Amino acid sequence: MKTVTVKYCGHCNPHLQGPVILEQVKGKLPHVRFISGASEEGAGVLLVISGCPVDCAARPSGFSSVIATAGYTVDGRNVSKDTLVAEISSKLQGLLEDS
Amino acid sequence: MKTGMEYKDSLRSLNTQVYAFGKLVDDLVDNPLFQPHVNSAALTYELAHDPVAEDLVTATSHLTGKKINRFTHIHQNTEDLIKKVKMLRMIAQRTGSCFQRCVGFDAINATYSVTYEMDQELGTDYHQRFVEYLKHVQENDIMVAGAMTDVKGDRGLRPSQQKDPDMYVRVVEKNDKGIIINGAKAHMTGIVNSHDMLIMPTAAMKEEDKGYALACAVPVDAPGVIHIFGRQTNDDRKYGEIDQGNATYGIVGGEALTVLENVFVPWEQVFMCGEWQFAGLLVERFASYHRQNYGGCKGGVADVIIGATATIADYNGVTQASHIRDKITEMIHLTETLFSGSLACSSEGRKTPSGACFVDPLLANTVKQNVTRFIYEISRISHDIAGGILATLPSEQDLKDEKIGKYVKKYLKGVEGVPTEDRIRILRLLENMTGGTALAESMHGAGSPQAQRVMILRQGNLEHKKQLAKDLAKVSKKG
Ligand SMILES: Cc1cc2nc3c(=O)[nH]c(=O)nc-3n(C[C@H](O)[C@H](O)[C@H](O)COP(=O)(O)OP(=O)(O)OC[C@H]3O[C@@H](n4cnc5c(N)ncnc54)[C@H](O)[C@@H]3O)c2cc1C
Repeated sequence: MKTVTVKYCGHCNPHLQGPVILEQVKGKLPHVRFISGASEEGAGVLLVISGCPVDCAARPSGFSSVIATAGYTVDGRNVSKDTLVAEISSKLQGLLEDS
Repeated sequence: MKTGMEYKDSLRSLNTQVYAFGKLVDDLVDNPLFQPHVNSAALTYELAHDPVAEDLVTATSHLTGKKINRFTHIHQNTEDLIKKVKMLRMIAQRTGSCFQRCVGFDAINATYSVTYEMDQELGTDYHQRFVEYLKHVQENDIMVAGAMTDVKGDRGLRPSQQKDPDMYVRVVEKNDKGIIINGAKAHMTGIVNSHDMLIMPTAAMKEEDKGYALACAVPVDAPGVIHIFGRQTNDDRKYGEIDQGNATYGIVGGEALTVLENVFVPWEQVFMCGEWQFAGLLVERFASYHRQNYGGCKGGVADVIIGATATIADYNGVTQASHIRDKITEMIHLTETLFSGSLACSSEGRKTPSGACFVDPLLANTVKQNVTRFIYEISRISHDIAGGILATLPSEQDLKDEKIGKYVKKYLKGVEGVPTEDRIRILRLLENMTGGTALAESMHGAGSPQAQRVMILRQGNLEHKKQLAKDLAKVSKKG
């Protein structure tokens, strides 16, 4: 089973609820294991979920690929409320297939 | 790092002498008078283990390299200062109340940098002692109460001029093992549910006041320490639920008058003892760090007030009125102005000689000055929107009464589809958060407005401003 590590920003003024988004992503990728660990270091794919576009979550080192969700943006690109989960899921799928 | 439960258990093992309503309290953690404040402080422990919050609530110790609760951290850079502000806003959004731990956080940061500079100039060895104490704080996730404010007696007189010498905490005896101190500290936030207090002087001192130039750490249950818990405007309501508004976390921090009667402090825990020249610097550092907080924590509290106000507008059926929307906009504007100030003084932080990072004091004082006004204005607008019912609601006993409850439910209903009890709950939350004790905290916590104005004028670079005007007006240089 492939694993994705999840890192949150702290959510001081969140435009979205990270854990809710993560649950929806999990629903789309049932074959992937998500660890909401607070590890300083890791490997593989890191999914950053920041509550707003400031995207201030610290990045633990060691990951080969990072996807950054920050409010309604994914890797800096604006996405709509309706497409956010699908966008994250397909990016993750792509990265996991490559890895 | 302790969990919330471990923190609560650690309080049970202390022998803290707390009096309330004339009685010695023997069940602090489970007593309704204290429970909301304990819950609020416990959240600062619990969130360090929450994946969503840990990025803000934890840090890496510069002393040990270990992961620690941020409330025990020494700021290493401006990013740490910014994360502090964001952490405070995030926790305050969850508690809607004071979670107390920032005072000790600011006290350790101020003492860390000032002991370093004091040692450099005077050849003392306080900094290393403090570092050892700090390691203990970080390792054991100690909740430290920041104990600066003395009772002060006649405010027009210096400590050494007071008729009663105990109006400021002072050293009464020194021996080879340590010192003995006397006096009292007022308005001590969260002290009854802390582990230690970090005592600091209230004001800059002159040489004749050197017996009062004192900084030291004391366990809150040390022999000779007595805490007398302060009343709050809502404390009778703590024995109910709805009328308290925020039954889980209460309002403000739960403050006490802490009496120190011949308390022994070993030298290892003494960080200033007579060095009057550095009392003012310690006050200034602590006050600036503490004033930095207020756009964070009060920003978070204001987020809850705004949410409650907008909800009551929904429940009253007035959301679409243009003046309501404009007033909510004003509340958001005031809140974000406070937050901006806290972020600004953090971004403009600078390294002290100890390596610890310090906020910009001018901007930090500006934030706190705004808090003494904006929180009142935010509360005023919320009262306007909520309506007079905020002041005249019947009690929760009447709401639940078999005979008259039906009248409360019928006649206090707002829009269709919202139960009257929900309307009452939101109104009670708002009432408790925007009046009495909660408001006064915004005025005097971290210093009365005049204390900030003194700092603002001193730091305000006025001569530069005059020169700008003179240059543009082409007045003669000599004039
Ligand atoms: C809810 C709450 C929590 C607090 N928590 C803490 C805490 O955890 N730790 C801590 O150390 N402190 C704490 N404080 C104390 C806070 O810092 C003080 O309230 C503040 O510094 C003002 O001091 P005071 O209350 O003694 O007021 P006073 O000093 O009596 O001030 C009242 C008024 O008199 C003016 N005044 C005072 N002295 C003079 C003078 N010499 N000349 C001219 N004018 C003067 C002031 O500007 C003010 O307008 C807390 C306060 C509150 C309200």
